[in-house]
Amino acid sequence: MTHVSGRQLSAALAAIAVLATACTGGGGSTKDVAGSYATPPKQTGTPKDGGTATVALTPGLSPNYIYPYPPASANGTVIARGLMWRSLYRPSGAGDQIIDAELSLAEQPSYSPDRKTVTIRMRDYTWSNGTPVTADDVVFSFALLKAALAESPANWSFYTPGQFPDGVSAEATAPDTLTLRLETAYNPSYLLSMLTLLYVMPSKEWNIARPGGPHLDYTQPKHAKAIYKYLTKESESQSTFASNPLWQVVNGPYRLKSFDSTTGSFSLVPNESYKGPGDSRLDQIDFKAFTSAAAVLNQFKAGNLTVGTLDSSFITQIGALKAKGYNVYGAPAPARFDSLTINFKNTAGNFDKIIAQAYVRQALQRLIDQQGYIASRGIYNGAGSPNYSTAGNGSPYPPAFGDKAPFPYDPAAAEKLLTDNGWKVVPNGSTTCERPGTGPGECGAGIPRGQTISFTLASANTPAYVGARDVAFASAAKKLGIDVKIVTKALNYMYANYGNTFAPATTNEWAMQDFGPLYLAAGYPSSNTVFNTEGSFNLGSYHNAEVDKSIDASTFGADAKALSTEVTRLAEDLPVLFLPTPHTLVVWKDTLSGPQSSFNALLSFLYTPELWYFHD
Amino acid sequence: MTWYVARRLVISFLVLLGISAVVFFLLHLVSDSPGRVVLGQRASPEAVADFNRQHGFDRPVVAQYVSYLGRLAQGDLGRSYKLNEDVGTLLWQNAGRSAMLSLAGLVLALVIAVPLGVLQAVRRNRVVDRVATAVSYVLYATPSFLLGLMLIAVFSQSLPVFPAEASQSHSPWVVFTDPRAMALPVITLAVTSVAVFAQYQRSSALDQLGQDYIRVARAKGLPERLILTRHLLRNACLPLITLVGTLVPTLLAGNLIVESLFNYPGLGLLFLNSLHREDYPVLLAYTLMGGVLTVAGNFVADLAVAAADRRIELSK
Amino acid sequence: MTSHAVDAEITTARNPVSALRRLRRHPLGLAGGLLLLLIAGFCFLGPLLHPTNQTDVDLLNAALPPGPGHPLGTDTNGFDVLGRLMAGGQVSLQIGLLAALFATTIGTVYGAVAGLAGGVVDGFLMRLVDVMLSIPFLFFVLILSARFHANTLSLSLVIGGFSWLLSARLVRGEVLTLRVREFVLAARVMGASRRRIILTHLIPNALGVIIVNITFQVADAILVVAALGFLGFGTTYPTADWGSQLASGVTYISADYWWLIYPVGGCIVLTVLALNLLADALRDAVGRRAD
Repeated sequence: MTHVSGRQLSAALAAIAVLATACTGGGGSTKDVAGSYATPPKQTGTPKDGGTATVALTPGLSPNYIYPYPPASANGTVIARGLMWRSLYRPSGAGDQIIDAELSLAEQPSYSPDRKTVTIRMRDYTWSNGTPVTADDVVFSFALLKAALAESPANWSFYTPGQFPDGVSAEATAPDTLTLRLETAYNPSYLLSMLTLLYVMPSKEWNIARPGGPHLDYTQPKHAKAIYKYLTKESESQSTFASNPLWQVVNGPYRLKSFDSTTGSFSLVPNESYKGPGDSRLDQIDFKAFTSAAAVLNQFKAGNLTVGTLDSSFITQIGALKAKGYNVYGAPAPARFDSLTINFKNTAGNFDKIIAQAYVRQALQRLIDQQGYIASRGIYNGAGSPNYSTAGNGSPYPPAFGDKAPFPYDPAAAEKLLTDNGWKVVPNGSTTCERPGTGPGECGAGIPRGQTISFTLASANTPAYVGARDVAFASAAKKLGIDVKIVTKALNYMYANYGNTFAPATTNEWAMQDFGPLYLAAGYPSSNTVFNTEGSFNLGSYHNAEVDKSIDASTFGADAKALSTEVTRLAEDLPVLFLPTPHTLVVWKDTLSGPQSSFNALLSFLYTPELWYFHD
Repeated sequence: MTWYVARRLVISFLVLLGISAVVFFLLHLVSDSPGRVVLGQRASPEAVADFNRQHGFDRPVVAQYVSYLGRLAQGDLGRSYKLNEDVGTLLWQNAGRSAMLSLAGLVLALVIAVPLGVLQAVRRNRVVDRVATAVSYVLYATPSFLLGLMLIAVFSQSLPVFPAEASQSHSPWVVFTDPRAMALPVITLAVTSVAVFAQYQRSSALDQLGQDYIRVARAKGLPERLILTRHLLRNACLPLITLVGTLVPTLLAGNLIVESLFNYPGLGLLFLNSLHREDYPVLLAYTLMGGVLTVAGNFVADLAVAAADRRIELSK
Repeated sequence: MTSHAVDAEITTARNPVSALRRLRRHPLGLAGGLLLLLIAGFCFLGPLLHPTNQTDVDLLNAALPPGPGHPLGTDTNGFDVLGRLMAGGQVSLQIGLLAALFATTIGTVYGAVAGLAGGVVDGFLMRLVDVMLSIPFLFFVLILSARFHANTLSLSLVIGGFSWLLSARLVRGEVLTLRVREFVLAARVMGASRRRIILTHLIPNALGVIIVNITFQVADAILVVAALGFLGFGTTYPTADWGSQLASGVTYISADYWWLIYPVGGCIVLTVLALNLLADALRDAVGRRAD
């Protein structure tokens, strides 16, 4: 900047004046929150044919893949999952059942007495080219899933080595009858929830390894591998997604009309041959990708969106949205739980020894003021529900204690837990272990005299309530002389670096992490892979022999109620610290309607636009 | 002149080579195991090691750099870890929008700043000049994101005149097709540069006013307006080209912040999202591209200086 | 952020003490200095007059508009915004000052070595500076910040570690001009040792340029910290620099929590403005422009 001569004191005054005017602009009053969104609006109006609905995708979710099983190395986000290629069983959108029988491609499975032979009758569905969806197609899908896993176990995120689809052989015993033979019997509910993840693909059109090539026998692994290579290769070319004839053969209610590889937005048009429920009255569905939740809100306010979801940070906007002609419905998503994931292997400051003590976890859980977090204008702003279990709110497998939480907010009780077990609590200072040892009233194994409690909590940088609730927790801990160091990280950084199963080298960098929500399978919220000792997704190396046993029972046993025992046991043992579940808001134009359940299903990211229609 | 240009080209090339080395080694320092980033949470350490071996990420870093240069020479910028797309395609898809945004901001800034600077020079130390200088000082101290935020708060929240978000269309021409949605981002970019440009133009115009030819023109009785438009503005061009050339890094930074604030899908937002996604091939390519643009800007600036020198030389 | 490149003209230095005396003749610079003192006093002494609790989250009093007890309201954690401004200002000023010191120290040594060595060494060192200057600064800093945990020291190191380049150029230029000035030549003729020349002539004479540079660097560093905080790479609880505070205001802009934006924005602008005014006046006082 050029030099200003010394006489220009007036300039400085003018500068301050400009600043002052800038500072008085804007502002406005703040409104108190009214929870006027808890009841879903009823289905209304006389259905009209036609119209285009514009749907907002979850912010940050930018589809870039079309083949239903993207390899890990592609990091693919699949376009319109479940809308073009239906899975054998459609997951239930309500969250109180495992499957939505009406929208599934097959009847409920029947089991042999030893539960090792499963017979599945296909229902009457057709591919978009008019040929029926057969048991052979399911066998083909099995073969390709296995080919993907043979290439890398990371290629399917629901996979545990040695479990489904390992040890499962599929055979088409008739065109409409599929027989699964299992080496190990599964709990029928668990197997059903796995089958909701099996997308059925066209065996007659996709069993090739090059364009116009010979149709291969996919039951041979080497052919299945070649087919898999070919299909994933075709899926690397985003510009041909809408034009490649391969991808036009669908069994779901929609097919791809156009795809914008720059943003990940895409348009679907009805598959005329679809025979399932729903009138598919809408001409076209445009799915729009967004980079931020604020952007979704802006598009709602501009009236450019028909349907979408918003997170609880936007609770203050409900009034504005309703004024713009939108319906707003909010609830906690089924089988969603938010938690501080604990790393039981972090040895920094003897954290592993300290956190191994159940009383420490109980004390920390008692520092979490769930009602306070929900009420606070800075965290949930009223849009949340207390939750103390891995099964989430309103689960068909509730914990035995019901809504009487085992360790509710009670800082005095937390302090007592520590003092009763040999700690000298110094509020706002450093709480230290006074009575080391393993006897009653002593700190516990491996905790020396003078030990302090100090650890790192990695907090996701988005959405805003994550950071806010973690700060509130750290502040409560500080009052008890426990030092919680918060580090803010991008979600993807946490996904790549914080988990003992995949990144053992960084285990001492995090003692707890808050990456936002974890969704278990809504209809059957088993924590298999998440909390069993050998689980492939057991990020914090949690280990409890009793829990292992109950997870085994809910996965392999015959008892349908085993899962309730598992959920209860976990809630009492605290493998994680439970946080309240924020509400998800479902927003849609009041000129659009459909069954209540179809909007409720948006909480679980399940879209059923074939049931929607515009009305006057 | 030809000799000078050739020499400058060679130096620019060497600098570019240096940039590629610095950026490559820095990113290698930050992330040395792409397999982990690519394969994600469920992959076993063995699978990651296998991936790194297959793709040559276990070799010495210098060897990796050499093969990177080899691919670069063939125009291959690599493939994004996360977006199922070639990096070159990604940059190409977003470049137009970012360029148009920056260009619009730059043009608007110049349209305001050049006449303002001349006016300030002509009315030196009068009220107009002082107020403009004072405002420049304040703007110069105002980060672009703060200015953008205040614009959003005032013109989008309090008086809803403009949308708070830039156009989401992926056409590069949105500045023309959807000017309402682009108003706030372009104004934010322009206003932050006006301060620099106007003060620069003011001092360069002051220099010009003292030059002989202006005195001659005045003595000849040419109308003041003609002198201003013909001589002052015309002669302002070369210094401004020099200035804009050297300001490329600032323009890129401004672009990144404004795209982030207004959620405008361009290169800046791509960079930020890639940073959050740990998509290193994209980070590497765009940082390198920033280096290329900076070097190109400096090159143009040098040429402009040389041309100006030559003109002075000739006029003597 | 590196726009001082524009005015990176080389000035010739004189004795800094007499320069300070001349500063009195710059009311605008004095105003800048005074404003800076006020801001520093606000940040470091303010908490004595307006003590607030900046560590215990107050869930029920979060995001209150300005009112009794909280002249500027509370933020989303229930921290008093006025007190938060003071605490955040301490962090921002510390980072700014530390980063500037790092940058100037590295830059001075590097520039002096290059200028004194001359020849091939000088050529190589300065080409390296060219290379580094051609990589957009913000990109570099962002890549590093994403990876490392942000605290006062790490942020100062990262920012300082990438902003010494202009100081290096300035100091080298200064050394080159001084080398041929009469008093140095005279000292040389009189047989003074190289070390003596550096210590008694070059450094004191380059000091003016260095001081001016530090002042500009502090201003730039404060802006960079603010930008990093705004983009989500700032310091975290219990500390919060001004940029991070602004970032939390951005999140709630649609909720109209204006008191989370304007006060902290005003602080950033005023501080940078004060530093720039002071630096301009200092530069003018330290020396006249090279003819």
